[in-house]
Amino acid sequence: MEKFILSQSFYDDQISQDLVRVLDLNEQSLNLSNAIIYYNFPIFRNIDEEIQYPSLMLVSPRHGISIFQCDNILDRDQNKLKYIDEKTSQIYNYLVSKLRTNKNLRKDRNNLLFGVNTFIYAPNILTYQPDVNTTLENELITQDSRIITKINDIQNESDISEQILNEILAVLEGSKGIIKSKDRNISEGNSDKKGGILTLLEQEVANFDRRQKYAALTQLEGPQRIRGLAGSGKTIILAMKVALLHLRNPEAIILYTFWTKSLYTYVKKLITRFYRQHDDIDPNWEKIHILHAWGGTSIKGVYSQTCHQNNILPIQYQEAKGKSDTPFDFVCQNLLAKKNGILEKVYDYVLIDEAQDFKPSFYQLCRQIVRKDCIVWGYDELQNILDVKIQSTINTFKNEKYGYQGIDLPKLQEQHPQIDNDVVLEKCYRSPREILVLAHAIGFGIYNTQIIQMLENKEHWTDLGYEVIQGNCKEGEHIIILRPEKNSPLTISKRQKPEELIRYYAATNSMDDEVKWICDSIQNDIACEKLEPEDILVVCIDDKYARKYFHKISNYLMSIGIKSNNVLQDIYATEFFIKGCITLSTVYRAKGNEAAVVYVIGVDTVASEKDSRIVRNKLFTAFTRTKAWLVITGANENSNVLFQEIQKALTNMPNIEFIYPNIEQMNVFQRDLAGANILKASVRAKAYELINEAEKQGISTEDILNLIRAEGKK
Amino acid sequence: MNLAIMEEGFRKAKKILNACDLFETENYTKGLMFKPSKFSKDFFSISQDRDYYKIYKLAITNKDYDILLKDYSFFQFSCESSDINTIVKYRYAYYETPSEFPTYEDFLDENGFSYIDCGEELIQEYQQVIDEAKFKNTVTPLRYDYDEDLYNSPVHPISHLHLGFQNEIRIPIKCILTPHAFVSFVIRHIYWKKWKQLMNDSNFCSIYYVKSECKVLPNENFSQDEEKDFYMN
Repeated sequence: MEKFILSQSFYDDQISQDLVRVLDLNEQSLNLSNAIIYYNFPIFRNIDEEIQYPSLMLVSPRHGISIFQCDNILDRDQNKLKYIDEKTSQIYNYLVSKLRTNKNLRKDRNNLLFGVNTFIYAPNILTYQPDVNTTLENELITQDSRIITKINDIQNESDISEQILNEILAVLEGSKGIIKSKDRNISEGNSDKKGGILTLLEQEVANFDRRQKYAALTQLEGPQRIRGLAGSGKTIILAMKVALLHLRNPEAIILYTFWTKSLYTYVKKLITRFYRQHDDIDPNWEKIHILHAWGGTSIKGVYSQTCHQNNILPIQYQEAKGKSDTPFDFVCQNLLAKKNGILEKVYDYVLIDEAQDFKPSFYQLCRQIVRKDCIVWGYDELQNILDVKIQSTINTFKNEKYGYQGIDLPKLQEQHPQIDNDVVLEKCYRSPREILVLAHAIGFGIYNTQIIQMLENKEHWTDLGYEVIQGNCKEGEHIIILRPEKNSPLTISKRQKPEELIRYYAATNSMDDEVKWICDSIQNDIACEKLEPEDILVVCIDDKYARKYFHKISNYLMSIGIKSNNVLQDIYATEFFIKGCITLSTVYRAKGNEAAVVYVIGVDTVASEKDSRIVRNKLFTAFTRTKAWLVITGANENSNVLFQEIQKALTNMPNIEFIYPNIEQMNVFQRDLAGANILKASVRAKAYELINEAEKQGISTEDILNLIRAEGKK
Repeated sequence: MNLAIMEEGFRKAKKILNACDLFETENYTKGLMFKPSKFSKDFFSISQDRDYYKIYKLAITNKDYDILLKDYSFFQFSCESSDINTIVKYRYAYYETPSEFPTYEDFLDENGFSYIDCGEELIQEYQQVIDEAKFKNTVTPLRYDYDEDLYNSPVHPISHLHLGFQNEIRIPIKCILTPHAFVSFVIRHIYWKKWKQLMNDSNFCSIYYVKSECKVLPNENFSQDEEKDFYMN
């Protein structure tokens, strides 16, 4: 029997705990091993706008649905039973009417395919004295032994099919609305086209792993971390959490924050969609604040707003930049210092998405503005460009200057053993297995001449949903790591071969050739493969030529009648996808967003920086934006440096194989590299100045180059 | 003037904006070349609002522009015709960016970098600078209207220029401006410093002078009364 305890109040609810214990003890004899029990779920609003939910809901293949309203009512208060009865009936009516809307769940117009039973469990009533004027609509249970009899009574002879059971759960959980599959114009004969495959994929993702979701959905009155790889559904879970919190507690002020502004629209849409599964109106945006981290005069952000609330003048970027290499960290630290570490508490809950983008100062700031440490953050150590280590929550929140204690998650969990405060989502739903494995192989530089970054131990790989099938992650060992199918369960891998999912192309020495190939392929995606333009995202890896690329691509696409949206040109940067348009973006902007086909272009530039962690992380982030297909292109044969790595990764698929490196040496190498890069950058800056100066004097770049070459030969 | 001339004017408008290094991009997200319906309904419903920033922000968010400049000011061009060859309405608009911030290149320059050096790497930081930008004290949007249906001499000239917004300034013009002519006018009067500098460049001058390309209005569209008053020609 699986238990989804969705509220911490379970630990104060002795009666519900007792009932769960009885069911647990008799799980085998009652045929409940495949059942699921929910505490305080589903939630809905009744006609009087009141929030309602059952104490416990049992969903069992053998028993259908049973609602238990648990109460500690005593003998002398028996007159209150009728209210409990009324409430239980309301819950019953709500559930049945909701289930009936789904035609797959109906036997005929009026009846469901399975039974829905309701019980009032009130074990503190020792002698029940029925009221002559009212009869209870719901069955009253006062003794534990009766629970067993009742469950046996409602037992059917056979199980509800798995398909129907999933449908029931999807309706109750509202997960059908989370990911809406698009209405694609797919005719019968086109189901093998990409558009058809994508439609199937979208339906599959809607059936999101239950255990993973519920572990994370449980609301704690305290801190909670949700770790998971790109595409494990962190944003969806955080958005669902907001919706549920808002539903349960409409007066609570909730903050949802992140670094990349391009997430605004997506997050708002997700929260609205999930909330509307449980209520008929939109969420109250006066209570839910979606704000990016920094902000200024034209767009509010957490920092700018907190400054305002605490009567501090925000520090401008230019000033911060002059004082620190990490300006946002600087402004947060500065704000805390100005207020001696104490800020006004404004929020009841704070949720941080993409939290790996932040330094401790922002976590500390968020902790200061929220009550009772109710801070939840989604974290992906592999998208942190500086550090693939597991975050230490103690060090992140500790600050001796202001007497902040660190947050010790395992210690806090002792108070609520069944509710995790440090959830790991090991399953990935966004990218197909082949692409995730490829992204990791390339991101770590596994098949490069040397490994660029590495997880510290075996457990860390396991956390990410891998299995170490050979070796113990010790230096010099031959290691084989496998991504099991269950952790990347998308069935697209069965319908498409790896070489269909991952394609690459090196142009013959010209950007124009590359652009033409990309645009022709995009045209094919739309015309033949029946994809919509907004299914397609182009991510340019080559920062120096991104604008030039996008200019050429936009023009070419326009000439063949395809519209495109270059997100670099969006001054407010809060939108990402536009219906009917191909999206063009850099890696920085694309973070947190996803598309069915992702073109990663300009990869010839990787050759010269193949040992850089930043470049590796950019590739990882770019690759993992895709839900299905990945196309990688470069302008010349330098692209083959990366393509050879990709070929090796494909050969070993679904394993990753390598000799475990000496981590210390690897880090030293990276430090030297960083040093060399700084040096190179300063030389380049000087050269640039000289060129500028010379050009002003009327000397052409060509002449200068000739001069330098001539000097070099001496 | 017909659609072909309009298209030619648009092409030249892009060219001259490029020559002044003002051009950032044209809009690739919309398909309807000059039909006013390419702009969102929301935009037209608030385009007379008192809050200029609101209008501007909505237009940018909804991509209601045809040409975006490097300083994030933008142009709109539309026309409506009664049949293929006769256009009866033109509307060209220039919306000045309401906040003051450097272009990305200038931002990089201020921080000791160059675009060749770091490309898009500092775009997030630049975004922050935009978010912090102060509002300008005044803005001067410009709009050119030509409307045969609304012609009412001398109260509402058929071809006229609006200067600024929330006012009744409507300067009569005795010809039909092309997009190119409108853009040249904006360059001269809004980007005066650039214009002054470029006037030393004969190549620029050859694409700048455009008046001869604009069709003069026939008498029935420019009355004797209008002739007696001040106007642009």
